[in-house]
Amino acid sequence: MTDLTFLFQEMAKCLFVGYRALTVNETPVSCLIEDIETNEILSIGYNYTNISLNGTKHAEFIAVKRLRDSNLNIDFGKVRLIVSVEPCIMCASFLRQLGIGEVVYGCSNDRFGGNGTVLPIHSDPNLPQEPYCSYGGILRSEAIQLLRNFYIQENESAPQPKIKKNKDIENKKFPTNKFNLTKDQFVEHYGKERLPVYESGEYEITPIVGKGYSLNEIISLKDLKDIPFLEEELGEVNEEVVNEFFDLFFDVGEDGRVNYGKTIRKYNAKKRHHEE
Amino acid sequence: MGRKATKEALEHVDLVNGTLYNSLKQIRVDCKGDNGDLPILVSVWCCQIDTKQTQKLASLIRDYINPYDDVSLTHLKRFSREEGKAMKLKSIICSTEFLETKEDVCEFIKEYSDIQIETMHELNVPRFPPPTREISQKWSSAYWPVSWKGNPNHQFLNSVEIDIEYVRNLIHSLKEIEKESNSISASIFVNQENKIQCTTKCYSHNDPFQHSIMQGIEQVSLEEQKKRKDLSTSKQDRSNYLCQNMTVFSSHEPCVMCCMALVHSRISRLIYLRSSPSSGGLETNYQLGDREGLNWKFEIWKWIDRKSESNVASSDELLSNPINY
Ligand SMILES: [Zn+2]
Ligand SMILES: [Zn+2]
Repeated sequence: MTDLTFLFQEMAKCLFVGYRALTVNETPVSCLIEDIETNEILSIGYNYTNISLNGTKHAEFIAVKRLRDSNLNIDFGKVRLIVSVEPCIMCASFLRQLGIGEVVYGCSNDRFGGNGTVLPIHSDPNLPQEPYCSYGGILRSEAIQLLRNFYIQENESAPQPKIKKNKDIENKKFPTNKFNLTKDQFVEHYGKERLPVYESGEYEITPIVGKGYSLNEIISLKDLKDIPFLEEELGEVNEEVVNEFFDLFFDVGEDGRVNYGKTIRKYNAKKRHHEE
Repeated sequence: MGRKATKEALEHVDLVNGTLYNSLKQIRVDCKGDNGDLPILVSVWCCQIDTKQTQKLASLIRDYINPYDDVSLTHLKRFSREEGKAMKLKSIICSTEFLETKEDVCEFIKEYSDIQIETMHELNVPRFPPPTREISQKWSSAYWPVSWKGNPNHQFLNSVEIDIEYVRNLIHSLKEIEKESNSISASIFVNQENKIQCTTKCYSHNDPFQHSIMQGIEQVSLEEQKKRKDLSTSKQDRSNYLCQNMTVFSSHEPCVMCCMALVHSRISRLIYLRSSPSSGGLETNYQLGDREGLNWKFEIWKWIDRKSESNVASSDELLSNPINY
């Protein structure tokens, strides 16, 4: 039986980095770069397009640049990228040109996804450079929920009341769970026992089949404090911040369905500004 | 006279080959659906109203929907008669992308008007304007009444405003820069007022950070950061899309990464010299920059300069290695 607890822990750390990026008004898309062999976190990245005024400063670019600046001879084939949202077409091409070892993502990127959702840049045989391995769906609903927090905040701080189109995004159910994988590839990464998730689209992947989870059981304050570069760049990580983060998400039940019954909090940018 | 001008090409325009001044070739997807049998469809909300409500609904659509709906429906007639129902009309309200559920549509209408909607359903209609009059008739009977306003790409080609001498000069500079610097590729970013914003050169394609397009986008943002630090004007009324009205001149067809970077940066026009077999993100792969579904498109032109094809251009083409990284 495939135990995915490790990947869930790493993705939880990754989402926490994204959550902290909200405090500097960046879109909460984030990533970690890890040594495939030792699992050591070598670099972190979060969206940096607003501060830099550069629409290409996606989390992946920030993390790679940080790593390369510290080690010019880094072999990208030996690293794993954990990223909250499927890399966009630009980043997918970037990662392929670097020769990345593997990519694990949270939710798919419906508008720009370059690892199969819009275009399969990671695997297209017509492109130069070797394809790379990519799979997603780890903490998928949480990754979507985190993004929703950003859009809620944006709508609320808009200077004029915008035309309200799709209302109430915060309470919307999550879209169908789709994997950009063949059945065999899915089994290879997630195990045969999870095939119902692949086939129905209604369930979430869980760390252990038949067991639900809540984010605070997966990761601890200490794990989050240990993420390199995070505190220096995005402020102190303490119990209060971590609990606020946990409160943003629904739990997933043992049947693999999101439990919408739980009351969740939403990120409050204004409150944060008062506190600081 | 006006009518004639829309039908025929302007002197410098070659509608069949999609070229301007015999020097710039339009790079776009071949519209295979042009035979008109299978248009690309999009799903919209269609309702039935009493004819008395027509005015109100028309202004709701004009003021509160068309400016905000990302799916442009202006090639469709908005109202259509209901057969056998004298006092009733069918109308397309908006795309299902703009308002996802029936409930959203009802609430939206209630919030911005007092229009009485009688029935509502989803409907698939052609996503883009028809290429010929015959096809517009076919589509109108098969899907929904479509307006015929001429071939949209012919209209586009006739409407392009481009200072060809300026372009020629910049192409010349670009070639000079490449030659002098001994780089493998180069790019020039130019703003709306034809002012050069930056010039970049690339010496190694193995390092994606070094690609000339990525360098150019970076330089533009660094310049602007400096400016904003100096000026203490409010950030609120400044766009963060710094390249929005820029033209990028590139020595080569940019790779997939760079093309998508140009989409993210929202440039308005790209002019390039050489194709990049296998790595390119335009004519070679995907046609990024002129592709449905991504949230931005820009004009794509390849410099072909037929005028001097027999001598300068062709030898240039042979001498410079196409990029294949
Ligand atoms: Zn990206
Ligand atoms: Zn490139």
